[in-house]
Amino acid sequence: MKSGIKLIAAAVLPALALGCATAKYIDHDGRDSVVNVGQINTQDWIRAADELTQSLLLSGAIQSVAGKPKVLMIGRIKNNTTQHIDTDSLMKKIRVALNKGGRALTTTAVGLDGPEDASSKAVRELRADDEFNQATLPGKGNLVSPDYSLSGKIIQNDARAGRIKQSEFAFQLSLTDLKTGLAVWEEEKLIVKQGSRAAVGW
Amino acid sequence: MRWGCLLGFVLLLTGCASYESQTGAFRGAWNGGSTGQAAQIASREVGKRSDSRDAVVWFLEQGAALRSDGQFAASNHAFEQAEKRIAFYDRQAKLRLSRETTGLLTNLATLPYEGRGYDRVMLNTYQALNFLQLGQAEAALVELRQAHTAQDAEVVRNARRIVAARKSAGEYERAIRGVQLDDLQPDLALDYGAFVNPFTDFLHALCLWSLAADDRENALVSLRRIHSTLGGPGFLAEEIKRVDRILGGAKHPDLTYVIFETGVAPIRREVRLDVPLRSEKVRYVAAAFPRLEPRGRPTPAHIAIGGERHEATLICDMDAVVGRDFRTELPAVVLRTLAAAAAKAAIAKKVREESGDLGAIAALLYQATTAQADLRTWTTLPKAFRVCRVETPGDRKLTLLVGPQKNEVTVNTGRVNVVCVKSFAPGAPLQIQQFRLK
Repeated sequence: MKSGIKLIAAAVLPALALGCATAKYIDHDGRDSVVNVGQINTQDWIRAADELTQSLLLSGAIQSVAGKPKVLMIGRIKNNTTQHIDTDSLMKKIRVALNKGGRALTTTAVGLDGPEDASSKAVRELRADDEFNQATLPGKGNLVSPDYSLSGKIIQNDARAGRIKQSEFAFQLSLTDLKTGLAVWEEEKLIVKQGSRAAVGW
Repeated sequence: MRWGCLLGFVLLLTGCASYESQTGAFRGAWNGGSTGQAAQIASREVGKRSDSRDAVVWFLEQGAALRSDGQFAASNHAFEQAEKRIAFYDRQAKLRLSRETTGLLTNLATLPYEGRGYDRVMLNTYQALNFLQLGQAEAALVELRQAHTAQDAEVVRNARRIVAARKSAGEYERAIRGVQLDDLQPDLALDYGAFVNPFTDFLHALCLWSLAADDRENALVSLRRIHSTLGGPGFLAEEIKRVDRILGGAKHPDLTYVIFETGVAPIRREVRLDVPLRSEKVRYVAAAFPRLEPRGRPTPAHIAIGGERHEATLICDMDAVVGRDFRTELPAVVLRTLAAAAAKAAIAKKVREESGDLGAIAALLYQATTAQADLRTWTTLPKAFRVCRVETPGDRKLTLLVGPQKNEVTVNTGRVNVVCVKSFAPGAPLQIQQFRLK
């Protein structure tokens, strides 16, 4: 009967290993944040955005003229990683920093595949609608064309040596002067993460 | 007396009809393409079983049947009910002593069906297709994001199960005296590895580049992933190039994607085996195991425009998806089934010794009725998903060819259209639905 008992024990004993779940608030860029080797974590977005913004501001590529901020459009940010990511996690932080510093404003009325916010266009379509006080509608020629476009690419490179896995994420950005088509600022920031891989697979 | 009461209680827990026999009429209607009748049967069963251990699997069957019958909102309601119950089981502790004990004293079919990994992914995928049909693009994208998350979670879960499976395999190999359990292993013509369902990723990619306001670049991530998993089919290589150009701002002609859902997924049949144990007192146990049984043959699908034929590419072989899940789960199922059989043999022996002839009959009855494999599986899933993309012709007329069957369809106006074609058993009518993405 020994083997029968062994069988039963093997099937049931794991049930005794019951755990309890907990939840807590943590600092979004603190040491308690979860770190995954093959993924871009919150703290990685923050670090990359901070460093890229500092580089852009220090480069002097965007200078407000007579206190008037330049206008920026967001171009294509290519995702060459193996995971679904929201590139706004990077771009929004950079846009906010430029906006707060008074260097540049971002247009939401122009985008590669239509505007980011279609409201600017929608409100102009009310010009033919008598129900709206036409004096309250924006006049023609008020939308501002962008001076620069910000485009880039996020690249992932993985390497493995035994059980050690390494992921490298390169955040590349270019600022193009739309009058000349020249890239007036370019930067790349690397985030490299390393960890051991669990032994799985058939 | 004490043992008699215990056996009586256990027999009450055991239940009666297997899922295979429960679903006989339902599967008959479904295979014949009578989706209305199938939806009615599923709804009737859900009415009877909505609080039972089989609730999840019946809600899934109901959702799929209602969807094929064109009742998209009702279908989503059924899928939501399945989702709520799955979430309820997920919130409970992963391992429950009461649950394990029930499984040990009866069989695995008496435990609640908590939804397999691929069920969860397909549940969100069908909900997304329903929302697209209802014109609710944002809701569809939410479902596809959930499917993506479920898919990623399943990859991690599968990895853990493989480690556990190795351990279980070692345990039962030590406990039994050599029996051929390899026959239970399904034949996998294809193996997507840790990847759960490439079709879900394909649909997500299609919706991302054609519908989403942001995150559109992620479409290429998904397409590249499927391309590499499927061994680099030309259709996907071309799709990657096309989507890359579109995301770069290039104009594209009006496109029609035809999704062919063909055939039916495998079901589970019961195999009863006498398994010799390495024990002096209990030499053999009678145990019932599930075995996966594929249904029908793969059906090729084409689109004809004028004299030109376009072959649909296999994006997901559901036999492979179900087979992979079955194979990963099998060592744990075998171990638990053998443990239950050993426990029951020990109880039966005790009853025979203490209660004489009457006890012997009760023990025999107990062992016979509780030896039942868990045959529950989502039977309305298709055998395969194939996709074909064509430039929408000027007259918007397409001829759809699935095996020997032929249907004409006039595609809606729009820049990106999707036509969903569902086939059942050979000879049954095709179900055709379509919606505009862009």
